[in-house]
Amino acid sequence: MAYCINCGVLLDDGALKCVLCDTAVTMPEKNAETAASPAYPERLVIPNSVRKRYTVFLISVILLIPNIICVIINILMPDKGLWSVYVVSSSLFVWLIIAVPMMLKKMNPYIILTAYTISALLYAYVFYLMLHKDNWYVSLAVPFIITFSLCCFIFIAWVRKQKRGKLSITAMLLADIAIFSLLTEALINIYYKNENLFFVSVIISVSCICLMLFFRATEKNERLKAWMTRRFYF
Amino acid sequence: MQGAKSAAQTHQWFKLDNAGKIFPGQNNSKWSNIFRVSVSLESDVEKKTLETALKDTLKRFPCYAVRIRRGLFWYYLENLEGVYPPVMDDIKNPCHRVNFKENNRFLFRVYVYKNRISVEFFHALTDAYGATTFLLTLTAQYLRLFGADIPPKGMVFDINEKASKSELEDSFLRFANSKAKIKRSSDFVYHAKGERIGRHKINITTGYIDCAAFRKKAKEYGVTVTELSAAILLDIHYRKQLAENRKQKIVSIQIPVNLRNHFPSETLRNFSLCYNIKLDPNMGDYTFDEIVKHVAQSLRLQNNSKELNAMMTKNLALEKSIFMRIMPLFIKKTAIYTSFVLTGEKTVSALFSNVGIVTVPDEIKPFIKNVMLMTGPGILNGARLAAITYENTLAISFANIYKENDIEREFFTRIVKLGVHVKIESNRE
Repeated sequence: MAYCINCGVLLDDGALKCVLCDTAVTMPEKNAETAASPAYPERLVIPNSVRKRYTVFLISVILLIPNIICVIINILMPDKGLWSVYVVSSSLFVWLIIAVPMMLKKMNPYIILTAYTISALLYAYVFYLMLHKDNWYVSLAVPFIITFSLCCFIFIAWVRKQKRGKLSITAMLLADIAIFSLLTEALINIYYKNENLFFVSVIISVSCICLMLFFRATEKNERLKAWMTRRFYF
Repeated sequence: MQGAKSAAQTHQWFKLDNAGKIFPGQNNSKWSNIFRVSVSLESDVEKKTLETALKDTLKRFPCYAVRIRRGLFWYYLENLEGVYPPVMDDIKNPCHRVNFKENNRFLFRVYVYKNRISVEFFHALTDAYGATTFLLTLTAQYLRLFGADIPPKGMVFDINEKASKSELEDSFLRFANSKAKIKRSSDFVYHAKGERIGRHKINITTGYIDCAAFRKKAKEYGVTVTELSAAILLDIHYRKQLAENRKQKIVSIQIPVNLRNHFPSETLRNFSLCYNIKLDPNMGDYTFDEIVKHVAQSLRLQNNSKELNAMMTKNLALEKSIFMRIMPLFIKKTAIYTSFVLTGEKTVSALFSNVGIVTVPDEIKPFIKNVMLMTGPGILNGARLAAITYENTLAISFANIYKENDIEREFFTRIVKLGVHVKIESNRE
């Protein structure tokens, strides 16, 4: 029998250290001779993640029923044009965004993001084919979707690189929003051939940057962090 | 699964009891709703013989030989016949999440490690009393197969008898008849934080305590073993929060009560309720003696059949509500899950579940070394304690999801400082 000289608790025969405080047992070589087996085996069982097939099925049915009805009505009344294409493509897009990730066993965020980008590009293309006004798809929709995806991609890569605190994640998110708002406004103004490239986005960006700097400062200053915790406790 | 099909054809099924209804909706990777009871024998366990004993024992407990199925409005339990749960080698991470399709679809698992037999139950099936009864009956039958003569007594049931109606009933329905309704506490409380260990993993630390010496110490304070243990736990959390020098939140310990001690029920299904002992640090500074008094008084104030009946009635009212009954299961499940995410463990700092003393026939005592009970991992609670007493040994187990073990260390060290012997066992490296 071995006792921990720090905690005073009795330990297993052969214990080399106390499981509570890690203090070494005084005569480990003697205990090792009479070593008892560990209290638990080494075998770990990690259960498989549950695939949300039931939820996917429900979402699919909920989306499918109105689509079938719309397609039938559209076929029966063809004189109003192919309006059901909007319903079907929108439903398909929602289904791809929500249901497909649920069916995957392991989600790689980059693959999911690429799939989402392609889906969004195709979805916008359907609308472009149906409306066919100007060249908005190439000069506005494609750059907008790609800019958004790139911002998401940078954010995900940055978060995954190492463990980040909540405040620095928020700060990075704000930086992302600032960049995205600037690029989006520039794209819109180029498309509409406006003189000023930036206006609203500058206000958004300045606000985001101020908040971002504040969060960064809070993260580095323990006293400020403690003060904030006390002040904004709810 | 041929047997399972034939059982389905005979349509033997059970409704989930009132307490069990919430568990399937809460089943997720972080919170498993599984708890474990183990019995350590004097000699190593033979798996084959245990399998035979399990087959013999399961007939006596039809409410555990079930699978869970999804109805349109509620989950329900359907009998499994001709199949048995496998007896498995023990693992390092007990109480991991239940998968309804594993384990031959049974909702309890049987593990063996050297001289230890462990059963892990999904809480929708039963509470710790039912699980302990099943394990001890199984152990007695296992020992009988080696020639031991063990009569049925106490928590060892006669396997040749048929399960009575009262053993299979939902006792909440029978006893919840109060005109008053008491709502559960909804204060958001303090949680001791730490660095989480991996998902589906858990740190277990069990302290085997000299029960007579501990009871003597508790008597010196004028309280019971449960009250003193809960007071130590509350005191640790209270002082830990003070040391963190932050805005002080309420500290709360949840204590499940075995309702069989208050109502004449024989049920083997869930029949327990939880109440919270709260301490508000903003009221002023508390000494340990004051905390012990506070815990004892709060417990004794709530621990009576009238108060418990009002709590049961409140819980049952939700289940009986017509809106709840006609709501399709998928909406109910989402609502339960959302409510659990939003409140759940946020109203509890730590859990202390004490099953009490295990009563077994004298003939089985020479074969059993000790009995242990542990809860599954929590989402926010680093400290989830479960206690069970066999002969003169009180086994208190911590189930911890954090790397830090300061609460366990403090808890057992305090008991040692009271002059009581504690032997520690853990799965930590």
